[in-house]
Amino acid sequence: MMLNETSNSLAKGMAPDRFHVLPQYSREFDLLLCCGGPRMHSQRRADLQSLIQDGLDWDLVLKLAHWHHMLPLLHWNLSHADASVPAPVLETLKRVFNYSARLALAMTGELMALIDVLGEEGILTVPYKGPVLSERLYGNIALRQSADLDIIVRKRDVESVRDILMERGYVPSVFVDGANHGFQVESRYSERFDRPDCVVELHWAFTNKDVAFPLTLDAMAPRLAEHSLVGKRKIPVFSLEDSLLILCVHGAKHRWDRLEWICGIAELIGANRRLDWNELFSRAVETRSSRRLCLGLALAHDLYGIDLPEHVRELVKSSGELSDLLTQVTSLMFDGKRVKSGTHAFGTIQHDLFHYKLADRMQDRLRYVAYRVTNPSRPERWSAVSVGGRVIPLHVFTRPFGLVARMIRAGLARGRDH
Amino acid sequence: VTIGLTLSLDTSIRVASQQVSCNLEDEAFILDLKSGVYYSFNLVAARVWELAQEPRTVREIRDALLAEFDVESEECTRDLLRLVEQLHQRDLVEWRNGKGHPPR
Repeated sequence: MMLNETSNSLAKGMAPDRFHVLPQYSREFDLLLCCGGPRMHSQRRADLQSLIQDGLDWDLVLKLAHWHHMLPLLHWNLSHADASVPAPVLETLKRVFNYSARLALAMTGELMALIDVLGEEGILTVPYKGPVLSERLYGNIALRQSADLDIIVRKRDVESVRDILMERGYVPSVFVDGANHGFQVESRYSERFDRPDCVVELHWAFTNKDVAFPLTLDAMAPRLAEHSLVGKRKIPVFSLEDSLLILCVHGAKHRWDRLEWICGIAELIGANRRLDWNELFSRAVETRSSRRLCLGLALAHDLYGIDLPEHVRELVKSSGELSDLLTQVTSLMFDGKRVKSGTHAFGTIQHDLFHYKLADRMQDRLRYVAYRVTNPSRPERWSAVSVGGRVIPLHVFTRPFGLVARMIRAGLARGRDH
Repeated sequence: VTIGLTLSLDTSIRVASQQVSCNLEDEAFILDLKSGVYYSFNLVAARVWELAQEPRTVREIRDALLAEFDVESEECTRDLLRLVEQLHQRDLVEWRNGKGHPPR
């Protein structure tokens, strides 16, 4: 399918030199694209008004915005649009926005308290995503939908932070004790803690061991920047280049399933002319994440028309498998049916192939396959024993047999259906 | 104009430290971290809140409002003093007479 040149706002002068041909998408999705960021330029404003005047399926608009975590930005832009949006739609958006703003405030307060408590113990804590990212990207903690507080600490501090979180009333979402917990810290990258009023996602890395991304807080510590959170206090944040790279790796990890992630990196690039592209790319090479960076940049360029310097464009264009990866992401993203039905429509095999192609090097691809074959995706299915001080993961031996059994069962079921 | 014993146009006010807030163009949300209570401010109150992020006298805030909104001086002064007193009762602002606020 080709882009419908008459109905989509992206066809009207934006990013004419795209990295791939965009699949066709609905007018409702087009509206979300127009609302990508708190500052709308005149062309987008005109497109927005035109889309509204011509009529939209507002139920689908709300479902799409919910799916893509764009409700606050949609509210922000529609409440200031010079066009008649149905009152019930505006009321719904306002209600959701108020809830989102209250949640962001509560998380901001808790984040400040956490940074203080952990700082008193000498633990370096860096927040990313959540209200801090919202303020860095959009200038307001309420414009990005967040359900939890993501913080990263050094791996050696995980046990102390875990204890402190539990003292503050948080409960780990999955109880993993003893040898299994030590193994989890070595093998995974985060652990979730719940409290009735807040959820904290404690990170000590950015990806599981299936994905090669050797970027640690220790390595980033000397180049951390400062951010003034809600004008009240300065907190440590990743440098611009590290932030962009981490956001691209995060988006790729989830197959860029949410438009807001792309919108976010477009805002970050658009608002920061001092971005050091050479440093960014050399860090991507160091951390074996060049393809993931290039995919994110290409999406931000193709969907939001961000300007990339010529040498960056050439680097992105020469990235392996780019066209195929881009088509996979946008085909899935523009598929309104899955949003209507609430399904992800991206099978396990497709998921694995996507990540296989995203790896920079052959050894990273093999590492991905080996990890997937030997590790259950849910940590509660892991099992490990401690023998003589060494942790031995038992699931590494049982998981391949489980996979084969599942494949045989699936084959038999297909045979019966035919 | 004075209300109670301490609040006057020359009183210096500043938002309290135990709160977080976000401005949403035509309103503001404030969360009192001590009590856990949320407050929603309308356009004018949100502007007062924004101005009080730094220590300012009530007179300075009143003059800013008079310059920005279509309101009579007397009405503006009365409503502003009432608002500041309510904020103070809820520990959302600190006020000082005569001396400046200590640095945070």
